[in-house]
Amino acid sequence: THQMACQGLQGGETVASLKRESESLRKKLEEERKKLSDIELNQVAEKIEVLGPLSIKTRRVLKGHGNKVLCMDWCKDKRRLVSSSQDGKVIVWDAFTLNKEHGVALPCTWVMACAYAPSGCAVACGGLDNKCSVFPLSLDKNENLSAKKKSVAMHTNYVSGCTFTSSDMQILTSSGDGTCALWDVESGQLLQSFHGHTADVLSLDLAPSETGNTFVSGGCDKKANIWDMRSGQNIQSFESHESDINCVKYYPSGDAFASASDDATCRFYDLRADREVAVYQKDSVIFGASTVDFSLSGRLLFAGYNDYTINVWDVLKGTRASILFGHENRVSRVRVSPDGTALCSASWDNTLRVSWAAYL
Amino acid sequence: MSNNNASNNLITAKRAVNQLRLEASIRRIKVSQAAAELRNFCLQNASKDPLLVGVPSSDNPFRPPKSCSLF
Repeated sequence: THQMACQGLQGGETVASLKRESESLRKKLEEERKKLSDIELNQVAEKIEVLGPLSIKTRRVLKGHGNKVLCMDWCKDKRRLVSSSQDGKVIVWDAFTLNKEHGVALPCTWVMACAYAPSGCAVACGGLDNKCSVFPLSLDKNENLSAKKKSVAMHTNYVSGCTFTSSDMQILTSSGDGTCALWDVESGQLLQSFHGHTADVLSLDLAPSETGNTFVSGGCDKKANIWDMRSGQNIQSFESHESDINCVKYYPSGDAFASASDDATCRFYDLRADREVAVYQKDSVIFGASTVDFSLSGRLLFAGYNDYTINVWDVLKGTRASILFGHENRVSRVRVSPDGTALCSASWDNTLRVSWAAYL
Repeated sequence: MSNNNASNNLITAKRAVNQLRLEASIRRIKVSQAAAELRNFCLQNASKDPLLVGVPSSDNPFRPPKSCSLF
C-alpha cells in the first residue's frame, strides 16, 4: 500500500539513489548466479546414452471446431480433454472414441484459455471477455451448459491462461492486464493478486503438488516469474529470452521449468541454481515457439511452433530428438496426458491431434 | 499533481529495490549439483515414460479399435 511503501523510505533516498541501488543489486544478482555456474547441463549429460529414434505417431484427429483451436487441457481420467477456439466454442471430447461429449458457445470469440477441473466435473474457460467462467459438466447431454455458467474471474484485459489449483474450489488466471490472480470459484472472490510483470502475462503453470504453493508465469515483458501463492510475493525472476514468453511449464520434479518464446528458442531454468541452464535452439528453427510440455520423466520437451511443427528436444543433451509434422497451421498448445501415454496438440488448423509412441 | 508523480516514482523505485534485495538474498546451489539432480530424475523415471520407451500395442488405450465379431 501507499502508506507502507512510504514508511519503507529511508531519509535522503531519492529516485536517483534508488535507481543506482537497483543497478548495483542487478549486477550483484548476475555475479552471484555466475559464480555457481560451474558446468553446463549438457556436459553433465555427456555420459548418458543418446536417445534412440522416437516413433511418435498421430492416432486421432479431433475435428469439430470452426476456427483456430487456442487451448486444450486433459482430464485426470487420461481420456477426456477440453478444447477452446477462436470461434467462441468450448468442446469436451472423449479422445478414445472421438465422441464430443459437451459443447458450449461463449458469447465472445478468442477463448484463449480452458482447463479441466481436478474432479472431472467442470471446466473453466476465458479469453477476450476478460473473464474466466466455470461450467459444471452435466451427465444429461440435453442440458444447456450455458445456463449453469458461473462467472469467476474478472480482469481488465483478456484472460490468457487459467488452471484449477488442487481442487475445484479455486482457479488461477493470467491476463493481458499484466497480473495473475487467484479466485474462489463459489463466491467469485479475489483471494490474491500477483503484480510484477510489466506487460501482458501470457501463460502460467502450477508447481507439481509435492513442491508446495508456487506457480510460474511468463509474458510480453520477456520475464518468467515464480510466485508464492499465499503471500502474492514474486520469489524469483528470470529474464533471458529476447522476446515474448508464450508458455511456461514446470519440469515434473518441480525443481525447474521450461519456457517457449517468440525468439524461436525454448529455455530451461533450474530454480535452486536460480538460472537458465539450457537453450533449445537450431539455426533452422526460426519461427516463434508458442507452447511446451515435458514427457513423464522430463527427458523430452515437446514444443509447438508457428511453422506448424512440434520439435521434440532432449532436455538433458540440448539436442533435437525428433520433429513431428501433421498440423497445417500454427501449433498453439501441446499437452502430455496425465499418465504420460499420449501427446495432444492443438492448432490454428482447427484440429487437435492425439499421438503416442509405438513400442520399439 | 507533480508532487504525486514524484512520490509515485519514489515508491516504484523503492519497490524495485526491495524486490531485487529479496531476489539477491535467496540461497542458490551450484549448477553442477542442480544439473546432476535433473539428470538423475530423468534416468530414474525413464523406463516408466511411455512417450520415451513406447507402450505395447495391447496395453495402449488409444490403439486402433478392433472390430468385434458377434456370434
